[in-house]
Amino acid sequence: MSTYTTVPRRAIGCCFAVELDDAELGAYLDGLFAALPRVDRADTTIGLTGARGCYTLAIGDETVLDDAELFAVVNRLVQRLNALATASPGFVCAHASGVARDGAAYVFPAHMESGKTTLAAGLVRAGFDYLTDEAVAFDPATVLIEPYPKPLSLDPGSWPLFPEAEPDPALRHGAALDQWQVPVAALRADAIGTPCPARFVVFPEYRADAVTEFVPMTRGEALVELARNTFAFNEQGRFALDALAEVVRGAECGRMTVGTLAAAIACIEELG
Amino acid sequence: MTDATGSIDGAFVPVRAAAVYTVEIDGEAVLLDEAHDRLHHLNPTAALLWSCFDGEATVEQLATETSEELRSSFATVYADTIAVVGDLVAQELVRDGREPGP
Repeated sequence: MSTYTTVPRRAIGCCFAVELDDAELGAYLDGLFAALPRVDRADTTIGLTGARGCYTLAIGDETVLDDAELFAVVNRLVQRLNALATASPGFVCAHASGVARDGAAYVFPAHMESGKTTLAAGLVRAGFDYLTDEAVAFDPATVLIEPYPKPLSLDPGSWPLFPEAEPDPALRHGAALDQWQVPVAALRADAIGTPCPARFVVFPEYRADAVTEFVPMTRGEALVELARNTFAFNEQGRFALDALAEVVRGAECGRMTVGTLAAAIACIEELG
Repeated sequence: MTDATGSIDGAFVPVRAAAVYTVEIDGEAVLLDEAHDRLHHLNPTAALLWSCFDGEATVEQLATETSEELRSSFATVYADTIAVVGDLVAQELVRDGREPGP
């Protein structure tokens, strides 16, 4: 029987809460998801039960992960939340990170391992507002981006760049980590963005030691690339294509080769 | 890959594939081929030609009209039109209107 329920929150269109039998872990999750908008009630209940070294994650009747270490369960929880969020009806969600400044968004669509989370984390620390590190949700009715300020999922290659974001070692119980889940407040306080239009759509690609540069691309080229980085694009078809076309019509578009985080931040700041 | 261009001449009548949805943007076009779940990007020249494919005009007629409109040489525009149509045929976005439809 659960003894703790996290504060119900909204991940794009998915209203969720986590039920646990460990209040300390529940408080940790409340902190992790604190940047997501609070809602009155949850439609989706996620169960996280167990104790050190043998946690179980369940959504409804489905057991998602069993007999796992805490941080493996937390990582999987974030992944499943992403899947629930990006399936939210009424939104077109691009696989992208996003930040904002002065009410205008910078969208970074890219596949995994391209450095989009690292770029978003660096820009937030540099003063930009945080929208998401995983899924930029466009509302087709308004062409505004609905923030999805989930914890940033930082891979090991980026850890030395953000030592302040290391999870509490007391929660690790000696277990190895393969990803950090970082609440945005660990990077900068009061950094959560609000709904805003895309002003720049930039496709980043990390290449170690490369010269960081921004190369403009046509809106037609950008539309194709953005569509290819959109969740369930084929299922949404022309509805999604029309929505994304409106997005790029209002944006400057280009590719950015990222050699170092510092150079990439400077490059983005020059754009705006 | 089949060289579709070789089978296209001035009498070819380009017809857009039925399951293709078009979005125009800054003079370019993005095509969503719903039959094959594929996206295509057309540069301004190809997009202009694509917008002229009405299922009646031949490649030669299209090249004539376009060369007059752009004040370019017919030979150059004709060669470009053949190349563009050939590429679109190869990608199953265009068929010959003189032949029975699918």
